[in-house]
Amino acid sequence: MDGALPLLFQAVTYAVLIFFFLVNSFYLLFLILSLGGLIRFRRLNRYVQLKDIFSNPMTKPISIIAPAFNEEASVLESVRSLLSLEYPLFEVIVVNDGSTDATLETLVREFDLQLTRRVFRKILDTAPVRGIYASAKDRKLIVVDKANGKKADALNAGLNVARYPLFCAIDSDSLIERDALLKVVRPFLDDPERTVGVGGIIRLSNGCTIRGGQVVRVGLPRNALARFQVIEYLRAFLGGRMGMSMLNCLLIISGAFGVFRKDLALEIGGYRRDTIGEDMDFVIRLRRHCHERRRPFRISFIPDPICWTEAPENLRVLARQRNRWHRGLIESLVHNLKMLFDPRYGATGLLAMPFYVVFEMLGPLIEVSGYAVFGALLVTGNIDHPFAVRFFLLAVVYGTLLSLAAVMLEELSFQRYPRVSDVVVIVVFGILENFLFRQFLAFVRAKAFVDLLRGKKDWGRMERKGFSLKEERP
Amino acid sequence: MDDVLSVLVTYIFLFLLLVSAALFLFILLRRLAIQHREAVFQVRYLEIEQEVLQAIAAGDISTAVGTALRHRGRPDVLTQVLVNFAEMISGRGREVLRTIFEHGLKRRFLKDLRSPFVARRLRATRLIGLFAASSERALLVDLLRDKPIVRLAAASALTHVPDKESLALVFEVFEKESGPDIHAYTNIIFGAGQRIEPLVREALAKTPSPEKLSLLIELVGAIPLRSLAPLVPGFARHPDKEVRIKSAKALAALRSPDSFGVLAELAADKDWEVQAQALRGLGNLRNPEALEILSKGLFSPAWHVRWNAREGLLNLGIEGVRRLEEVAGQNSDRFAADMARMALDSLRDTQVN
Repeated sequence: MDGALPLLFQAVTYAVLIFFFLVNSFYLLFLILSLGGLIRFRRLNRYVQLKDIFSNPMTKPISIIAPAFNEEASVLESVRSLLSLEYPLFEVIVVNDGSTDATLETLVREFDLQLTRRVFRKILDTAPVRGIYASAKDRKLIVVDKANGKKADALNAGLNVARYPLFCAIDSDSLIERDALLKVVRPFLDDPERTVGVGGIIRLSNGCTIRGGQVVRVGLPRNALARFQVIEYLRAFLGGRMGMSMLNCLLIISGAFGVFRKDLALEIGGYRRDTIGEDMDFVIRLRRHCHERRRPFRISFIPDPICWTEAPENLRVLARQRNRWHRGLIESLVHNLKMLFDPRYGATGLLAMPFYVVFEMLGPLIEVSGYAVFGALLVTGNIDHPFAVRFFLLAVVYGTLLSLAAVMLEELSFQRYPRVSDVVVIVVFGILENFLFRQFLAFVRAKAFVDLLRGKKDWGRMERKGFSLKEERP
Repeated sequence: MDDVLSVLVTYIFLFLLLVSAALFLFILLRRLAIQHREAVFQVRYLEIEQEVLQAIAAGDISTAVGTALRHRGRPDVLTQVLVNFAEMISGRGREVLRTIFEHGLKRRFLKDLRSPFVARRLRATRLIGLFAASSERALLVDLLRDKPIVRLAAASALTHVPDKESLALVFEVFEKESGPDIHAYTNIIFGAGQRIEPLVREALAKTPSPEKLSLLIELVGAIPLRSLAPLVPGFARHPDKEVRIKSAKALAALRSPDSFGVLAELAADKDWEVQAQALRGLGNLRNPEALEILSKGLFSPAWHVRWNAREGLLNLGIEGVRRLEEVAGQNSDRFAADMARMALDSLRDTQVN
């Protein structure tokens, strides 16, 4: 036994080391691919006139579906922002998913909503619809009031009511930039046969000044937790998603902003209602559907159309959010596990699925077991102190390098943070996140496995300040 | 083994530390340099803008030449000023811009057309398209054999050159093109407007592939090319569903009273997508003879067909509303009744508002 334990510790140490190098190398590869993609995107974008897209009659109309559950604080600002989007033809469908606060009443009062007898095709099963409201103030706005059935159910209800061939799934607590739809629809114009879905970048609105439903000044949040998330989002979107999109194996388009073909969404049965990671699950099933029918397709990520969302500013809410995201990721991957290593599913089965299963899904477990082994070695006195310190420093510097690379992508592409001091702060927080923040997230995500096994299905409350409050900030 | 690993970790750590520090410095210095460059750019932009405005106001070619010669050493700023003005100015003012381009930037961009860098070729293509004289279109024609993105830019630039030959060249490339790019060409051709009519007429006569044919027919309705309306019914019986859909769509957009018979025929097509487009067209015509066909559409199992039938009936005025009331009152088809009731509700909403 005396010989077995150190051997086991050593095996785990090596496994963690190999995992560490592999995962970071993959991220680095995606960042390099993203760099190529962003340069290409910038170059091509310079020659696209948004007014041409606006006036082109072949630009397909879009139904924007915004599920809302207890969004009383932010729903007005979000809906105003949606109604003011620049796009030739669109409708905004807000689905009130059985809110227990005054979400519906607020909308009724503000937009002069009136109950209609609008008929819709109930292609997708949903919780009962209690009524469909039309706005007397703006004919583009439709509000569907239904019993609570969670976000996927609300999106399905919106899909049933939607009239247009493309739909844009968004969170009603997000703000979309005025020209975002014109930008995101471009792949549908360039390659209408193959493009089935396009996602845009999500940025954090914490610290920004918002007026009339639009971000008018970009700034960094004052809250440290939100600052950590700024760098996280940059890494995830400009690095990971852009890179995966370059390899045409993007598995996730954020539920906060994505445009899809409605006919295909209906073909696959809409959003799966028994999962909390409906956005990822939807994209994976869409890919699976297209692969199985041998239909050429493309799901793209466009780094420019921007959706702003509010990040949690306290640990409790952040933990709930990340726990939910990870449970959603596990559910989506397990549900589609048959695609793993199956060559029939091309890059999705051979690259994207293995990457997500090994590094994204199991990653937190491996990371936490690494910490556990480290603790055990510390307790048993078997630790090689200089090596442990060096390895920790290596992990910190590798993580920092990845964050720096993401900042560089941001700098080379959009430079949304206007001040030099912003860049310095982002980099400093990119270093600081390696101490405690990353470990905290690893534990939260690892706990998601336990919660899932216990059958936890709830979303957890997301406390929001509401966008209007931020307007008062200096 | 552990020693080797330890040394390896140390060296990798030091290497990554250096790379990170270098990257950080690069980001910071680059940002500072960009901010400085932007500030200088802004000052020069205002200065050149002022001079260009004066040249435009004077309408004097020698002033324009003077401006071009004075600022040709600042090509980026001068280009930006010209592009921004080009989006707002036409007529004589445009001639002034053309002169400035001719004397200040043209030589540089002609060189860039042959650059090994795609971005430079693209920029040059756009500028030549905006400012070069039509006699210089041959330069862009060469680019129609370049990479797809440059090809598209050249085609787009050629559509702005006001002569028939340039458009014919774009069209020629479109006819040869296959794959997803053909949609992008349709967008470009759409920008040419009515000038494209003889070429579309010719292309329709050549019976291209169903995919291109459907795009051409869609263009006829979208632009709209009314003189080609008599040709569209000829495609209404095409075996390809997409062609029939686009034929119905074009006829719906053109609103030609002569198309009633064809649309009525398409309303009975075997595919619901064709039926839906045909009913929309019949609704647009506001012909009372369409009453029965539109009423029948209300009983279709396809929602889109029912929706377009309802819209058509609303377009028919009082007769249509009466028919909607009848359908709303019947019990044999719940879906038709619902659709009719919804149409009547929307009518009431409109009246109230």
